[in-house]
Amino acid sequence: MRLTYILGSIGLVVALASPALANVQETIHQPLPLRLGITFMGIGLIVLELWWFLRQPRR
Amino acid sequence: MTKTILALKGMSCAACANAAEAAIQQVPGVHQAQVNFAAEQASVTYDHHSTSVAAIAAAIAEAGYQAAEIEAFSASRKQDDRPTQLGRVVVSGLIGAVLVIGTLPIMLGIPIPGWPMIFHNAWLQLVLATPVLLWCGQSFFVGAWKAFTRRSANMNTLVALGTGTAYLYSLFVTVFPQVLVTQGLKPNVYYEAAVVIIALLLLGRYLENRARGHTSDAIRQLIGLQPNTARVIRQGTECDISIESVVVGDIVVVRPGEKIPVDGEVVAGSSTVDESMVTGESLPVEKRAGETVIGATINKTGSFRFRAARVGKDTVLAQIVQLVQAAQGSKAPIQKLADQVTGWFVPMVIAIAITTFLLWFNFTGNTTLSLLTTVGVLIIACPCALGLATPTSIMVGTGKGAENGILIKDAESLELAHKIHTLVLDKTGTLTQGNPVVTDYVTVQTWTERYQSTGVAAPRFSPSRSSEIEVLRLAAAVEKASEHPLATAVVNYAVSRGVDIFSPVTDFQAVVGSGVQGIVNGQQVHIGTSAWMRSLNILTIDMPQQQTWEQAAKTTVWIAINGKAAGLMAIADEIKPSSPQVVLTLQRMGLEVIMLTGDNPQTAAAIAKSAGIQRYFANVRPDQKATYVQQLQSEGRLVAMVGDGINDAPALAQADVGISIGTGTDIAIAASDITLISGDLGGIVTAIRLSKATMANIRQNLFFAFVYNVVGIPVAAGILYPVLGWLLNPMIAGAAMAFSSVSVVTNALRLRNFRGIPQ
Repeated sequence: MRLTYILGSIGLVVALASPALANVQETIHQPLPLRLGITFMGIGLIVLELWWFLRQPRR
Repeated sequence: MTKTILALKGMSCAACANAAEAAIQQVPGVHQAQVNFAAEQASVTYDHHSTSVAAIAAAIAEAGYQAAEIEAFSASRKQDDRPTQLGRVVVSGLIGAVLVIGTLPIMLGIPIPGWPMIFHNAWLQLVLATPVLLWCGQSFFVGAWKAFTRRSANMNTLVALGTGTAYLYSLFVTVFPQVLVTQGLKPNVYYEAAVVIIALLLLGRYLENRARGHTSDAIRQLIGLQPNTARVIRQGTECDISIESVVVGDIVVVRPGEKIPVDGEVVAGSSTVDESMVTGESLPVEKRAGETVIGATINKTGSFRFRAARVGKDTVLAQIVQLVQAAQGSKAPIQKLADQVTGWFVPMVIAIAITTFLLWFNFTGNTTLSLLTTVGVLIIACPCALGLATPTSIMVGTGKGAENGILIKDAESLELAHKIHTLVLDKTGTLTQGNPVVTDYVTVQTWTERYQSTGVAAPRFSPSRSSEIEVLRLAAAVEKASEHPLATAVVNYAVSRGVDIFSPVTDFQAVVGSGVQGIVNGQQVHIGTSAWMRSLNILTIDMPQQQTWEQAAKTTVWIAINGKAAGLMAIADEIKPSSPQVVLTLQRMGLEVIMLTGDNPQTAAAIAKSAGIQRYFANVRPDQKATYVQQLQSEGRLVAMVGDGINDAPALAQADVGISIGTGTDIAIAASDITLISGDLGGIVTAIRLSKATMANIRQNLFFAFVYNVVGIPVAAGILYPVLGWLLNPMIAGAAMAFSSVSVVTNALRLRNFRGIPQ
């Protein structure tokens, strides 16, 4: 049991501490219309996805 | 109603189990359905006039899974597809390793001198990654599509979305790199992320399946107990035949050290038999002619022959296997939480993932970063650990119970057992041996003549005078018509004294909880309690012996002939040697132990005292037992009832947890939630401890499963980035997700170390 806890903790720590995305963390200026367009599309996608999966009454 | 267990294939997480369960429940004629993800089986109760197994299997197939009926007494129901799984793990792992090592300089963002740059070629990466996604990860995409068309989402949905997004983005960058370059972005591809995630998830699933195989070890071990052959006498000669060929009535020969092949009754010879594998009772049991033997138990030193009474799926062992299989497939109430969560969990995770993308895109404008955090959220949130948390522990727990001679009917009983406040014990057969014997007998005439004048207490009496023999003869003749244990004691006593018990009885009537009456040779005979005698206006005399015997925990019964008290008997039923210790242990565990008995208060007090029980209910008629249990429940207590007789069945059913003694009647066993195969009360302690251990294990598992998702999702979404600058690599998310399932199953397997108290 102790081993499982230790391994679980190591897994979490490794996952938390991973800095492997360092090479992509740069900020890029995007035009406002593009950002607004992507945001509205994203919100629409969320609504569509929730409607598709959750519309049917679940047990 | 017909109940069946179906083996299911194709489920990947708890959401799949929910979908399969919903599909079964929509079949007209299905009364109840429970799908256990860990056991990969469905327990279905249906009306066989309205539907059939084929129709149910078709509904399951339509939902995207395969179902087949589990044959009774079969362990090898599942086709082992682990070699194919391993092949996919190896292929995806090798390609993943090549891609990760080959693209290390890009991943680290620093040039490594002398590093082979061939794997930096996006087209080569595409060629290597494509078979991993299409072949190794095929099950994720096919499963996700099937679920999507049914408007449901599961683990496959998340994996397919996560890896598919990484792959398609990389494909876009590979084909149109200039689109990113013109935006000032590096045309980096993330094929290795998609490949490594699939490799890790496949590895996790493989390890999980391997570990999960051990959760049904108990069933395999139980089935493995049965020998393959039996030596029977056919046409006067002994011959070895396969176990399947043994038929009821066969005379089976058992030699020293051999396993008993089927259940039966000894007809010749004697021996001792080790029944520990079935009953949990460690001491060998003596077997002589007329006694029953259980299949799969081991003959020790002697040799004997027995007549096969139950074969195939009717044997005790086969029934135990069926019961354990059914229990392992049942759902504990605690699992409802996980089921409710998984119902909306995956759609919510997809919504969170899209939100993550939008937030990162708006704050950084970096499409690559936004996409990778989105993939991380999708991958780390797979709910398979949540689906495994409860059923794996239940499977190991119920199997462990069977190993210790405790049959648990369903997961709910196992869960409830650790919450019990009050344990109600039936006296006869539960607390006591259940084999009462007449210890004292005196007739009114003898007592009046010999002892009343002198005041000397009557000694242990052996009937010799004709009046004494006559009263005993009449009593035994009436009692012979009754099946009550006290009646058997009176008959045995009469037989041991050489009294004729075969006088014909007419107008026999048993008055529940009071006594019996009948007419023998024209004489009206009543045998029963003092209270009953009073209610019949039969005057009983005040014998000091009655009080003495009752104080010695003996049950006293009056014999009245033609409306006049004629004799008094004391009947003792020895307390089981283990009872006081078990009662003490239960009390130390914080339970209140209460005894129910039909005896008068004086006898009840004496028995309760010798067993260490403080609270008891005396003068309880069999039909009142359930009412007493109900009364205790109305006080807000969670009540367990322990009993063995037919008359205990209503109380066993009324109690929150009914515990029957395996040596008792089939009706009591059917009405109970837990059966102690041996008669030892120590099984109660073991059952409660097992329940506690299982529930603690489930809570640990739920903690593991929830913590991975509750902590992992915000971290993958980048919540720590503003504070610590940490972002989760999707590959690490894949590793963490795979590990969460393995850790949950491994933790459940710890229950295999549970040890019951020795019986």
